[in-house]
Amino acid sequence: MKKFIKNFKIYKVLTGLVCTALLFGTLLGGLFSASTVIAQTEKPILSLYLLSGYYYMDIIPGEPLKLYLELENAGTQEIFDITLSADVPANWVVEYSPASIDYLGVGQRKSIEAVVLAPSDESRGEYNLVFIAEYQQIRTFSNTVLVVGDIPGLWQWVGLGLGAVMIGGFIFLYRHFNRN
Amino acid sequence: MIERVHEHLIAELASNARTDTIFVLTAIFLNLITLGINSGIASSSGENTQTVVMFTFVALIVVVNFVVEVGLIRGRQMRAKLINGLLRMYKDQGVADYYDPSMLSDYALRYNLFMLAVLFTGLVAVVIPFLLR
Repeated sequence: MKKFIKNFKIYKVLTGLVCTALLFGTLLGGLFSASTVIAQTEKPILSLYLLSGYYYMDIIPGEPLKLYLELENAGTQEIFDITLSADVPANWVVEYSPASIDYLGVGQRKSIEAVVLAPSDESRGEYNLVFIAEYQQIRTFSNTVLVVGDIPGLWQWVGLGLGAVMIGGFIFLYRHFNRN
Repeated sequence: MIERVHEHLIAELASNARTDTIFVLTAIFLNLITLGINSGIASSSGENTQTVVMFTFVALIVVVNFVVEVGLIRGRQMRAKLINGLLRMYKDQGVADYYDPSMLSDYALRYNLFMLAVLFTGLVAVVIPFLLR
């Protein structure tokens, strides 16, 4: 029994120490939140934007259309030798000015003019064009939809012409067969 | 014999009316159906095949409408001839007073209205799809 009372005191002291340690641990844990520290390396981030207003446009087949894009280096490293290309429907042509970018500094932006030419026999519809900027096998892109419409007024005149032919034909028939 | 001739004239008139009704209804129905089809084609993408289909339907409308117009003109002339024959017969029989000759002009007006209806639906069926395109 005496042994148990002696041990009980030891248990009490030990329990007190554990509780104190837990309390301090909780308090210190609140003060210093867990965080991961990553060593930051220099990294280039290339972004290609189509300027607003050029996302959904009409294009007349055979007539060049100018679009404006912006290239931005949002990273922490300079970028060299950026090539520009485009993924376009068959027989469509995109020419950039400048044709390529040799250097783009950190945080630097560069405006690019893209001249799009649709084939003159292109049929009516909506066409998706993807503008691509590439460096060291890393690609960034931006896209737009261009709408090819018919030559304004052509079909309306065709319709009215056919209507006139019908009226003329009717008048001819009416007179001819009434006379006979 | 005169009764037989009278029956024959009446039968011809009935047949004439039936034929003209079929002409008018067929033309208007075809015009409206074609209007729907061509409007659908005109609203879709303008591929060359669809344009050819559209023009084929336009040719169908033009031909059918001209056939119907000719048929109606002939039908009107035939009806006038039949009624004139009937009137002469009634005059010979002394019962012409019971048949008003002004019916001839009424029929002529009715036929003209039928032709106008066919022509106008045909015009709409031809022109509207091109305006939508």
